[in-house]
Amino acid sequence: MGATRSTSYFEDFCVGMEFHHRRSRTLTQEENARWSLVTMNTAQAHWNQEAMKSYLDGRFDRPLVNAAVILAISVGLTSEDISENIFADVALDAIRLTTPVFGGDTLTAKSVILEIADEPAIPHSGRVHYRICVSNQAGAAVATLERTVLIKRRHQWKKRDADFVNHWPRGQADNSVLSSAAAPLSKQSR
Amino acid sequence: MASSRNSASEPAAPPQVNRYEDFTLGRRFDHHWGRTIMADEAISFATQNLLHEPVRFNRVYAKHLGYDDIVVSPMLVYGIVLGLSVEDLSESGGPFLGSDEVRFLRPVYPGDTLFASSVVVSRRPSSSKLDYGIVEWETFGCNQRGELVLSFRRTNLVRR
Repeated sequence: MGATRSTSYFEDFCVGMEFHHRRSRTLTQEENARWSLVTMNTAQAHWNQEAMKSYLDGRFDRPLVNAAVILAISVGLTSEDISENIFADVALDAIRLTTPVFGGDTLTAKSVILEIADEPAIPHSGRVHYRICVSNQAGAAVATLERTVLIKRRHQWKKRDADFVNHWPRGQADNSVLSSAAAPLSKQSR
Repeated sequence: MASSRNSASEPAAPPQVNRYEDFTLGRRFDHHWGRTIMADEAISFATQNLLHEPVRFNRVYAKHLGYDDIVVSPMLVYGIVLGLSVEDLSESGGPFLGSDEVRFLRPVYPGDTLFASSVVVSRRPSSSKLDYGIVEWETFGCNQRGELVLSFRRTNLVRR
């Protein structure tokens, strides 16, 4: 057993594939303030409620979520489906934020594969280029971006990925330990 | 901000916020702080933002891929380099509009220190908001060896 699934290698993607990522994520203002400050972001509109009175003539009554936080979550929402088997990040392009995000908003992402290509300099991986569209709980488009990643190729990695660790319980001995530990519980529940 | 800040100068006196008129084409800013990234924050960032790529939080797996350690999420590297640039570029109070040509050039490992600098690439008045202009910068992130790890363009609304 490896740490990544064997169903998301480079060969498993083709142009036009669409993903409606299963999980969504609610952001809080506490996270916005924390990650803004962790990343040295000194724009008070992310972490000073009072500053919003003069920000853009007071049109927002609450702090705005930092773009870098929105983008990290946007990529994160797509990651288990698309980039669990990533070898390296290459690029982000055409990032546009179209609706403000506030603490309490819930973000949902969908993706479409735009392009797949060989990566001559790194023959064990291939390039996957995809577009991410993120919406909020009202269905408004919040962000779009394109991401390019290098994804491992099945032929070069599947066996190595399956073999590389022995950190999970294996074989009958381990299974019997697990099931005997579980037995008293299942008796009780009857 | 002091009239000239280049790589050879002392950090300028602390912040008087830059406005649209201060962003002359080609003007360069070396953002003065720098920031060391630790493993715990790299892993927290990845897990709290659902970055479910084991290379971000599993050292055994990262070494299996041939890396020296977990690879810090490029989304955190982007956030820190952008964050370091805010004091000089975008504290005047106008939102982020977009970012283009983000290029991840080298892995960043826990313990690495990031430095950021930026150049004004373009600017124009806002057609809808008279008090604001639109400024685009190219921002660069280097590690402690001076190697470029990241570059990107960013566009913001900036107060005039």
